[in-house]
Amino acid sequence: MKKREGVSGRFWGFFTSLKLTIFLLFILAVTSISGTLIMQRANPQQYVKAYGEGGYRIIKTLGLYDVYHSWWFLLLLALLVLNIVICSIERFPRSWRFVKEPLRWPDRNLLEEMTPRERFSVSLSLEETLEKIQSLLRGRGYRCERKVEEGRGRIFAQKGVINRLGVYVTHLSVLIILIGGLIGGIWGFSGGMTIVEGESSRNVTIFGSHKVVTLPFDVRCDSFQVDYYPGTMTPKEYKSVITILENGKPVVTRDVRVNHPLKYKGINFYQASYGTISNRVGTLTLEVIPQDGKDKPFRVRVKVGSQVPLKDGYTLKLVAFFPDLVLGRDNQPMNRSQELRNPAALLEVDKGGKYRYRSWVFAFFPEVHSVKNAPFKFHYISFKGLQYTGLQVSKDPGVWVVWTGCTFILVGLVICFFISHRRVWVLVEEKGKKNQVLVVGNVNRNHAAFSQHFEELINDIKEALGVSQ
Amino acid sequence: MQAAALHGTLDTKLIAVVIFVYLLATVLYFCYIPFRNKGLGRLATGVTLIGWIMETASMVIRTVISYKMGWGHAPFTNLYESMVFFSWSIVIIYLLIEWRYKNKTIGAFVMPFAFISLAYTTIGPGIRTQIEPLVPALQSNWLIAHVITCFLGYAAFAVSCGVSIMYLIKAKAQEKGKDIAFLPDLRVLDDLNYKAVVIGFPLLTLGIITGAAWANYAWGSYWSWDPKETWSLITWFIYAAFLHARFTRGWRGKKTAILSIIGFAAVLFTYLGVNLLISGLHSYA
Repeated sequence: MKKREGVSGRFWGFFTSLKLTIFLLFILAVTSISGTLIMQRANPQQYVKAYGEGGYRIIKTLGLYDVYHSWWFLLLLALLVLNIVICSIERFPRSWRFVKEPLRWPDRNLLEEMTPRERFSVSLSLEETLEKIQSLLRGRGYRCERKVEEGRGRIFAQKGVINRLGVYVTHLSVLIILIGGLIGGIWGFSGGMTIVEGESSRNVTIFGSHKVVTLPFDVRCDSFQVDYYPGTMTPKEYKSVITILENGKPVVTRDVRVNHPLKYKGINFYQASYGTISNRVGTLTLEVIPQDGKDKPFRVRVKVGSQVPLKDGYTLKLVAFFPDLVLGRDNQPMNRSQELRNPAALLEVDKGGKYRYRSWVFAFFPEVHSVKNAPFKFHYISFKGLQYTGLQVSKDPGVWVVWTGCTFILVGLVICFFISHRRVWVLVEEKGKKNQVLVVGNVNRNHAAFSQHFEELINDIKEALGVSQ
Repeated sequence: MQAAALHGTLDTKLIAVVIFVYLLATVLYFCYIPFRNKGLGRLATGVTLIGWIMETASMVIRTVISYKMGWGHAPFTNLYESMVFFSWSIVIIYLLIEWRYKNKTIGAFVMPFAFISLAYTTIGPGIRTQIEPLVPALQSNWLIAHVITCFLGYAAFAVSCGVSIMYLIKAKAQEKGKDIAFLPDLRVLDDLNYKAVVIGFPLLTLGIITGAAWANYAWGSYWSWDPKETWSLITWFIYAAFLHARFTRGWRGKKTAILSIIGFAAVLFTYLGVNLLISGLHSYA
């Protein structure tokens, strides 16, 4: 490698150093660990709670709340990119020469110095000797060239020359993947939208910020459903029926399930979450058991916040419904989740428009909280709330660039690791009545395997030429 | 419940036997080292192969049972199944390397990994051996491609780690002026270390890519810096450094052996540590 002078030369020299590569790979490995130990993209209060004020200040200064997008992490990546580019520029011409202008006819002296090599003599003619050796090499996948001069003939055979380029394919692929990531980062977005059954929306809330992206069309959730494996609580399928509306007109209706996203106009919709809105909307079905001993139990359906008549002038009002009741601070009833895990209803019984009493009804504890001497007992039967689906919405125009890079990196690695550049030179010279044959081999990697290969090759050549071993 | 009734299915009983078969194979490989008796070496390989066939049968049976239960999935879906597959991968990669490079001594340092991985399924905390239905996120053909490539890669790195331990033991002894003659030549060990990494690295790369493709299908993002993803990348960086150091800086022997051991530690952390210590998307295995 040439020595370069001056500032630009030193800059260039710094980036052609493989020491830098190894250093950067290690530093990237070590610093990446921090982001798996410290929670990422949490809010300041969470950091203060976990690490204290001082800890939070350090995290904030060093950008440890979002390691992989911090300036120093991006700088390390940029240095790696520069390192790859400059190393490739520096080394490519040498590798390209193997492809473009291979060393076909080296000096005899040079051949004599190379290993492995083999020398023997044959009684066949020059033409015949060359022909037999060449067809044998061809049979083993070598590409051959032949040259006959006065009194001597040569063969140059090689295979796997592409190995010289494998390293550039691999490194270029890394750059392509990073470019794909960059494209996604600049022109893509990723967010979420929640849509209640029967409603539609076009607003996507971007993750990690409060920004909202407005889609150029409406997304309607026709229904949402969870299926369970029979006899278990293990969910089998989450399914939203989604309709895309352009100017209010439905254009596409499809099931969106986990691992089965919907793609429309370059925007992908993924099934991400779901829930039930039970406290403000929904219908409760109750069994009413009159306590006067005469009347039979009957069922009523009542919506949250509304009233239904019972009998004898009594009315029932559903004051509040809790799909998953727990007692919060100061024994205030609250929901732990939006799922029907511990349904409870607060009922009010009135007569002639006048308040009589309130009573709780629990789905799982039918005998608890019944008011004594009350005219009615209530049993929970079912509740149908409105479900909503949570869709992850993303647009990533860089994703195909990334997949292209991924494909090429695999191709590049295979070329690098499992192909070697093998060259064989044959020199046949007339010497008296016999012909002297010199066979020389060369490989750029995996020498042990090649020497075995070369040995077999020589044996086969000798056999074909009728030379005693 | 069905799942509870099937506790201790035929496949898990088979695995219980395979644990002892692998232990026996480990012992036989260790015995082979000092004596270099051909018959003993063949026996060790034979026992390993029998264990591996039984393990394969166990996985097939488990798949069949899962289909009979109406769930129908390949046995790659929880920690237990992944550890069985991990040991399966180690053994097949090891057998291939033994066959290709005609060296039986490294078995003594590689088979323990297969044995420990299986034995851990019986003593590890919170390891459920029941066949379970697949949650929606795991219902993907990418699962199979992802698990197979990752674990074959991990297995190759396990081999490189085993070989590197042998290297360091032998090199240490030589420094003290002694030689452990029954261990293979340092040059051979160094070469095997490199060859195992060269098998593992493209597999790890493919494993990361299939995982990214799957994540893109399931969650709409091919990379989200989830701890498991990040640790797989850390592992990738370490082995990338190994390859650059060896190819272009000419690092050999002790330095690359140590790098291999660090790399395998990162593999184990990616596989187990992340799940045990850090929570994330990858909570199943």
